Amino acid sequence: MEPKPVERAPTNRKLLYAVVAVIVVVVLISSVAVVILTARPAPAPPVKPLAIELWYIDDGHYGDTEPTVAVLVKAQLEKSGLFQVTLKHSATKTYFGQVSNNALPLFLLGWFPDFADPDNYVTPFMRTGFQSLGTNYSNPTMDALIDNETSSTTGRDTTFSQIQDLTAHDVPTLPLWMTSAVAVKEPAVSGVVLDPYLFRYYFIGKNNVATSALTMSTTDKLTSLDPAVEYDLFSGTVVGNIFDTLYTTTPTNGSEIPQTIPLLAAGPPVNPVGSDPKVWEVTLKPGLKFSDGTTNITARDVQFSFQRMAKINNPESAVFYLTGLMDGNALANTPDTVISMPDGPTGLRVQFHLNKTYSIFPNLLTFSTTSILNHNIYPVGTAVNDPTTLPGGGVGGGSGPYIVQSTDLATSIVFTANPYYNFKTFWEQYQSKGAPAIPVPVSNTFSISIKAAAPALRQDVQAHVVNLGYRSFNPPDVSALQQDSTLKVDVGNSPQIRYLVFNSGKAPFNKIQVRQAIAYSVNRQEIVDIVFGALAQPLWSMIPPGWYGHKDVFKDVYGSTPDAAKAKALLQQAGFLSFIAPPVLAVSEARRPGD
Amino acid sequence: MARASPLLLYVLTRAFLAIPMLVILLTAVFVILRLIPGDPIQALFGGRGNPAVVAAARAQLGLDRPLIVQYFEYLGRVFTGNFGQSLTLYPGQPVMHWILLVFPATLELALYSMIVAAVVGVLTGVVAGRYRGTPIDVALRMYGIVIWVIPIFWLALMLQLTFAIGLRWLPPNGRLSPLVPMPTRVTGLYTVDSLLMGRIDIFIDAVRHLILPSLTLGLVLSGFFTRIVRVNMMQTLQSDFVEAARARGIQERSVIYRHAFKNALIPVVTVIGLQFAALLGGAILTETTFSLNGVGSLLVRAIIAGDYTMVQGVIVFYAILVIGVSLAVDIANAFIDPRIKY
Repeated sequence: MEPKPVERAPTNRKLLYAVVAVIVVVVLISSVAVVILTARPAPAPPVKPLAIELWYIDDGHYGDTEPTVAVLVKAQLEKSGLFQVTLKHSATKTYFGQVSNNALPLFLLGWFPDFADPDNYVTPFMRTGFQSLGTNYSNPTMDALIDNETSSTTGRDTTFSQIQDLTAHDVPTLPLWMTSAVAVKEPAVSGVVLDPYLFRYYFIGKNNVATSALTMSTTDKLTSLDPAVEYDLFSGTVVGNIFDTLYTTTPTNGSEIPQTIPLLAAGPPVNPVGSDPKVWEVTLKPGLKFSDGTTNITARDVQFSFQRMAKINNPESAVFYLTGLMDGNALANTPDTVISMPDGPTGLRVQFHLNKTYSIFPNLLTFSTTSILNHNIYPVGTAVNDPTTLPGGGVGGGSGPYIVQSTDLATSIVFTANPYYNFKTFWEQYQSKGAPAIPVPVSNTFSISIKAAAPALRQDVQAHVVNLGYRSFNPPDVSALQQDSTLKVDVGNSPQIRYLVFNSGKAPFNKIQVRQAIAYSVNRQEIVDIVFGALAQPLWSMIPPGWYGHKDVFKDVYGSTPDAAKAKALLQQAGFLSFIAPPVLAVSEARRPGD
Repeated sequence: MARASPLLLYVLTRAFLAIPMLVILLTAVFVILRLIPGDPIQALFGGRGNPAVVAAARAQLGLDRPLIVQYFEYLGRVFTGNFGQSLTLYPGQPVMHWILLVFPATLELALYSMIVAAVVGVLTGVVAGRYRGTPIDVALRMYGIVIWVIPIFWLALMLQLTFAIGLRWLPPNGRLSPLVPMPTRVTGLYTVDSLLMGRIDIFIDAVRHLILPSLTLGLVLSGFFTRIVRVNMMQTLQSDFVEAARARGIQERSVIYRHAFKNALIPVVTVIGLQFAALLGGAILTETTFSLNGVGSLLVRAIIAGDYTMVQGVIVFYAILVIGVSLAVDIANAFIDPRIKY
């Protein structure tokens, strides 16, 4: 009988199970340990970006590049995940109406100075009460600084420095870039001065000799020929070529700050009058006439021109300059109390009674809005809207170098020389600054074709349909036209600044931290490089380089490249960027606070 | 003369039928413009105006009244030629004034384009039909297809680059050269008004400015004419009366150009009417590309500016125009086509 085998199998199997179990447990524990030890720190929970709207003009008012700029700014703001930007846009007329109504929260805008003083880059945006430009900003310290620089003629550099520091802190606006002025012309065209304040058509001719006719194309849109209504660069330029102001500026191509010189006025204004520093006296040159050749320009015309602007009181015009300095109601209804005529209506002296001391008042009198009109032919309380029935028999009836031959506002305007222009030889003394050495207007007829968009402008100069193209070429077109040997491209400094406006009266831009966070988030150099190339430069202050008192204050405070961490900290400090809660399995009927 | 009375009845019937067509169309425009999001006042103030100001503006335009009241007021205004006032483009000014001011530019472009389309289309169609199945036919059929599908703006840019920028034979855009004075307005058509003034120089300048835009729009439309004339030509050449003409020993040339050609052209008149609507649509692009200040570019600017009353006015104007042309074509067909019974 064979021995019965030893029953060892169950014991071995148990041992095997135990070993396997131990191995599994060790592997599991090791795996968990590895996962825990090698895991990266948990990411911060996502934040809810701050939703904002960014507005821009969509009909080419600032050139065809504007939508690209808006898209780029949106991308820059959204890059850090801190903002969610919705782009919105409207046409020029609607847009400026919205700006005047304080309807827009954040928007792109551009500014050509209305007169030659750095204050014009400050007061319209930052002085309480100048809300027509949409900032709604108010700071008593800023008001005091502005009042200081506008009431004195000394120490203004220091004040402007303080203003810029405060601007960088409060950020009512955010300067972005400044563009170059570009004119493309046939080589024979002379007298093109890329003047930032007034592009003088009457200097332009061919080969610096009297010229029968000259033609120009532009993409600028003509809105009005009435000085009491217009408030855009092109319309102001046209007005400045058919009307005269009491004072004007020396020609400049942007390389130097122009000087204020008398035009209709006989000499510098007198201030103070008696002992009152708020009264300014201006005396007209004797014997000046309007374009009919018979009507003398008198004190009544000066008073009438200002009164008319106050009476029409168009909210989209530059009337706020006057109502900021004078009693608007009195000017409209009892003008003698605001602008007096010591020698009577037919005299030559007028006295402006301001409601505060304002040292740069003569500069305001160079602005096209303060053009002097013939009180016999312009209606006092109504604007002239129909371009085909201009006063003075359809020619405008100003005293400027040109009269209007024809216009439909939409497609063209043609000027002819005013045979009674009073300053035919006046400009010769400014030859060194670009004025022609022959009596102006150099061209007897000057025709401007208004084009819908930049491609048509380029076609016109390339096909030599016109002698000159001015404003606004697409940047790539400028590069192409510079290669054309039959054309000459003038690129000059321009005082036009481009910037973002924060409506400080609207959430979330009523919080200073939000404005500062956006100042930390934009990349000016990228905008310039991508959109404009060599035709623009980053701008670090509302007062551009070249003006006294300028400093790159935004670069000093916010750096030249975006800083998302600082922007994020500011937004959190302002109470934005709440964390997005993780999804939950069961949802209570009650909503969380803040939803 | 015996047919005069039934013909007059036919014309009156067609004219009468145009009225309900117009009412249906006006109703559609009214409804669609009120169905789309927002309203004219929202557009005017960008959706952000002061509520009191917005309410006042809405009341001023009658938009606060019941829709049915607005509808009948709107119909009443349109039938009396009042299309309302511009909201944003030319605030406060009558829409009709601006449409009539710029319409001659569109009409002039349309007329010259139609001449180009008809001449090129009929010629190529007749030749293709006459030489059916030959390489000439294939080439012309290919032309008809390609030219019909070419984007108008692309063709416009090519023509501008070639003839205005490259060769400098023709002006690239606009209606007149900068220093050429506008002719005294009688019809608004520069080519007509200049002749009325006796100014041949202005006439030549206006025609030079019309060549490129008319070629652009006309060539694109000619593709359709090529194909329709070719088919008609082939059908006519196979018809009994042509066979009979041949059987009588009439020369082939005479058969084609005296008998077949005239009959093949009859459907073209109908097509011209239908193509008029397409032509107005094409004019929008052509006017924009060539910087022509016509109704098309007015419509584009009104859309960009959110000027609802102007947009509505232009659409209604276009619609009335198309209905009018269709009516005219129907009546013309009744005169020239003996097969039409009335």
